[in-house]
Amino acid sequence: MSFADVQSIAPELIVTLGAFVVLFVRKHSPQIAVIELLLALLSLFFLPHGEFFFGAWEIHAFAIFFKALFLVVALLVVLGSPGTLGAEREKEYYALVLFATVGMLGVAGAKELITLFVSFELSSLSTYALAGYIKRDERSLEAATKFFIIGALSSALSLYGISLIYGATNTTFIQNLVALQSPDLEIALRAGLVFVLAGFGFKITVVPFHFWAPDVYEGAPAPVTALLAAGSKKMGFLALIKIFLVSLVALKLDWGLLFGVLALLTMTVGNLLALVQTSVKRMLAYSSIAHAGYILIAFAVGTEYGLVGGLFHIVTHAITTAGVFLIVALLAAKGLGEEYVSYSGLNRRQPLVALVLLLSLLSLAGVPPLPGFQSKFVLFGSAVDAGLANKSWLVLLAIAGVVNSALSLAFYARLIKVAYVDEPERPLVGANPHAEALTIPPLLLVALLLELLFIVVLAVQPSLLLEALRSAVQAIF
Amino acid sequence: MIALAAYLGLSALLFAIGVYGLLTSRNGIKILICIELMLNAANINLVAFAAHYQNALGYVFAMFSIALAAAEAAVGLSILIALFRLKRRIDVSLLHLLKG
Repeated sequence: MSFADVQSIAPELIVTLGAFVVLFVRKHSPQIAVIELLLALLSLFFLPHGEFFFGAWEIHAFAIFFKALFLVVALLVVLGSPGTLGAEREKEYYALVLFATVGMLGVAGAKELITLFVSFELSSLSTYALAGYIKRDERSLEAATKFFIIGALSSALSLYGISLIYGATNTTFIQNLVALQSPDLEIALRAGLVFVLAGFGFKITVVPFHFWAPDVYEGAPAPVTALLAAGSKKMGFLALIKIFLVSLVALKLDWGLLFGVLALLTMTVGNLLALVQTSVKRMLAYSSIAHAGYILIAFAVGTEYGLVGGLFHIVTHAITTAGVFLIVALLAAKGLGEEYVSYSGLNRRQPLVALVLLLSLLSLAGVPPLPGFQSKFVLFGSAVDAGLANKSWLVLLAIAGVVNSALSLAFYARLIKVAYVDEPERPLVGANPHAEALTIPPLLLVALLLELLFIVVLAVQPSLLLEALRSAVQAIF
Repeated sequence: MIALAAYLGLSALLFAIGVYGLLTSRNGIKILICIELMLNAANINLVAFAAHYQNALGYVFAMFSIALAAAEAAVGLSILIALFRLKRRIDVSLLHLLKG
């Protein structure tokens, strides 16, 4: 192990160290966590590029892009937690968030299946504990139990799949996964890929495997839900990109149609069920399922341009959905509740919160010129491009995506109407001593301002991010 | 010398029993045991392939996955203990607050 090896895991080391510092220092947990995450973000600029640890670990533009995304999501979650979490003891919470982040960073750097699987599990195990963090709350515990059972099933499926892939190829290094040991083992490799797809499918809430998500998202504390929707789900996509893009291309297997059908089902089911929800948290859970469907279009397209669109949508959805869940957390913590009516008169109660909510929801719906529109534009554009070139059904998939976006505007606009037009159901001042003053905790204010900055900058200058995405995709294609 | 296919058949059978048990049982501990069955089915695969190829990679992977299974059981049991303290039962059919 050389010095460069140690250098290449600098962000992981910093965040792990931060988790232990949080555990041993009793006070100022959120502040310490924020500082450690910022240091880790800074260290990304000084990472050496290339392969490390005998080829098990890699650093290139693609890995750094995902590391930055996970660190920013963790930063938003940590900033949004103080004052909204509602737990008695908080330092273990921040340590667990940091451990989950280390796992996500590890998946971004892994070039080998053992590293990938162990990092994936580190992140998953931390999130099971986080979902049940409010031990006295029956709903939080129910969410944790369901999440644990489904998560364990999913990791068992993917481990079984990985063991078959290892058997067929006699290697765990991702770039060699296509070197079949003998032609009759191809069936084992295919079966392994199906198991892995099913296992990761639970994580990214693809439609036949999505049923757990609304329950868990609703029951878990809202800042944890933000981490699940914005962080751990994107980690599932990352693992899927790593395993599938390499192996399918090299095996000359065309699974585009399979991914296309999954994408269509996922976005349609997600949007239709989101329409009928009364709880905002549940609506957002279904909306996040629908967005997983949009991102899957990138897998169906399978071109470089398509992957740029997929990554772009991963970023815009991660950041905006984290913002919305933090607002849900704030309102729930202030005793206003999680139903649509709880948001009535939000604009008069707290205009800044209402503004961030408005922009984020419009971005999720894909209204121009917000970031969500631009990422959908690139994504659907790539599908049309590839469709006109050879696979004409991709054009239909793009049209389905546009129709779905229009459909989704119905439930996002309903929440905006409640927040901006409706009269407050509870008096602004008076009856409920907690409800009248919707004060924003200072760290959450920072998070909301960051959200606002992100949305405005990307709406004005999307090329900043697009350039980074292009170089990220070129690093792996 | 037992053929590779025999090991793979055994592990597929164990995995199927695990999935069946996970889908049908209501008791939290039974569910944990079924998850262990599924993980160990994968371990048998890994070790059988490693022996077949004379390659240490599979053994290493199996060691890691045993450690992971232990960590997973620890988290799962602690969640079940918290559930038991609240409800005095660990029957997962009691979980019906969240739906819609």
